[in-house]
Amino acid sequence: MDTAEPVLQVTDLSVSVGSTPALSNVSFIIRPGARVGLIGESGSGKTLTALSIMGLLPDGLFASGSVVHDNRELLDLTEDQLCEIRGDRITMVFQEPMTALNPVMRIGDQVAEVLRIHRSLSRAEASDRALELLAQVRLRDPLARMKAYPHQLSGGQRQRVVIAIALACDPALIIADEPTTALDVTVQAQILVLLRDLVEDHNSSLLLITHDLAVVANVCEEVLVMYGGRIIESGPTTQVFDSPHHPYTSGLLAAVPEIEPGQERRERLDTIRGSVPGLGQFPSGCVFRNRCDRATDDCLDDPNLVAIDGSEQDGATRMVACFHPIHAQSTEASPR
Amino acid sequence: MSTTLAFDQEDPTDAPVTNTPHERRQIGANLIIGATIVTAIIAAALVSFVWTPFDPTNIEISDRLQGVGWEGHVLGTDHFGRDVLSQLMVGARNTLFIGILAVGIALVIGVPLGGLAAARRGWLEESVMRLSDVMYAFPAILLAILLSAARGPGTSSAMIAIGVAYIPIVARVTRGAALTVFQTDYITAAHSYGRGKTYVFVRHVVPNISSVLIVQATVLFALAILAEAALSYLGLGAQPPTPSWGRSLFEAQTFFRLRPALAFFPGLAIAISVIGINLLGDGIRDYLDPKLAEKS
Repeated sequence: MDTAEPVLQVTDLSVSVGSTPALSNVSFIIRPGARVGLIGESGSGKTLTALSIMGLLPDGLFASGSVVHDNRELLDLTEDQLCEIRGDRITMVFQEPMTALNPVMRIGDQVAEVLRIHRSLSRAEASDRALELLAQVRLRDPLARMKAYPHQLSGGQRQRVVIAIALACDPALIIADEPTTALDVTVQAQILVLLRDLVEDHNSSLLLITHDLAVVANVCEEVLVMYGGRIIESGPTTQVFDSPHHPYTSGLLAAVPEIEPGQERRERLDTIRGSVPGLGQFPSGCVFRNRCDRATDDCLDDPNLVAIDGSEQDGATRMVACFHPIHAQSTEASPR
Repeated sequence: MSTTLAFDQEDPTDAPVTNTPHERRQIGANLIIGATIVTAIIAAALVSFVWTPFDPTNIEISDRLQGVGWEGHVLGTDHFGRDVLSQLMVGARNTLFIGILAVGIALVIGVPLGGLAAARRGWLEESVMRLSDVMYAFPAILLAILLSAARGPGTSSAMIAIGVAYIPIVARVTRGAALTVFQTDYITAAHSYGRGKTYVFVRHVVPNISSVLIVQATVLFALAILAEAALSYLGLGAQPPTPSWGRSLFEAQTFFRLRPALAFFPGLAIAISVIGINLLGDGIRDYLDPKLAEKS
């Protein structure tokens, strides 16, 4: 059991777009050194969660609830106080490396900028450190790259630069929002391995946002499954993936094509019936009930995310928000 | 947890940098021609401080309205017998001074206003933009007359009037360009590095809209030269005996039938400098934009 203070404690985080809830009561904990995957389809609220934590919500959106980092309530901080944390203690890797770098600034200057903001280094010191960082993200010929502009780099190279910027101040937490979605498959794997190794080297924690189950399986030891702006299941990755309790998680896993050598190709992929409703069109009660085969009248109520007894592993607790969870293989789980 | 992904191979797209941006940058014809013309005007203005062929304000009634090349007067003399070339050279000072300061006033006030509107949105944006609408609707000539009445006519009144009239134009262009830039991921990313909106605007947004601003500034500079000529023509600009292209043009009007060349030279000076400044603006934009440089 890990008793260290969590790097990030999110409690009942909610965001509304107009009167429509886009995030409802999202709660989770990120422990020091943990790599947590936040998984869900488009529109499930993953990016909104990240932006709420960073205090970068678009104009007109406000987060309620609580986000605590280092004994400070981030949602209550002023812009100036947030700026001290942003880029220093909590940093972000963006989805689109093509657009996440300033096109008219040299790569070296962009990496050095974060250092100069938070570390009061001289120009030369920041530049030296930037070079080190670019070498750490295994950019070939970093010295030449320092002077390059973003458009001279490929997507993979740019994402390495973005990672270097995120790591520059040895942050406590890195939030990576679909860091590999825009990249080629072969480059994806390299970037993920790089990110995983560097997060470890810098003693940071990682919140990895993705819709790719394989990414989570490879990088994260904990996983949070989001649907309709809520976390519907969470726990250690292996447990969740081996025996999903929520019908949605189970459906997601079944929808992944398995390509194993020697195995006959399946004719049809399993899918979850229906499609993700638009914002504000989710059913009342359990948000998944209109697409769920196990839904009954109980599901008209809103299920809470509750811990499943005896499922603790390395400090991560199995939790599920479902009245009729699936109990595949897991004999110890009892109905609440 | 074990990984099934063992990718130690090089990023296949991680090709070495083949060229540095500076090597690839091309100096276009625009830049060369524009810079030459502007340099010539600046040189003429500077030289006029120490040397002109004749005293530009020296009146020799007996030598009035002489043609090109008469007794060392390269471009002839005007109706008071003053040397036209000397007048044009000294007039260039006036033109450049007004252009630089008017555009300066417009940029210094207009860019922050436009940036503020783009960054803050909401009621602040509305107020700034509606205020600029009001200013835009107010004729610049009227403003110049107003200022001349209040401060007395002269170069500085004309300059302020032109500068103030351009503030809404600059604010609008800045806001429009900045709005697009504020939407981009790299600006969100820049916010995530931990600095406020002012810093992000100055450090990240302005460089990205600089090409728009440079072009706008040169267009306005050229327009300011024309506006100064117009104001001087109306008697609201430089006052006699200060030489000014606009006033030379105005005074030449009376003698247009007799000596058309008198109107031709100041007009030519205005036209050439407007073209030169526009070309220079385009050239600088092309030179500064790393992407355009790559393509050429």
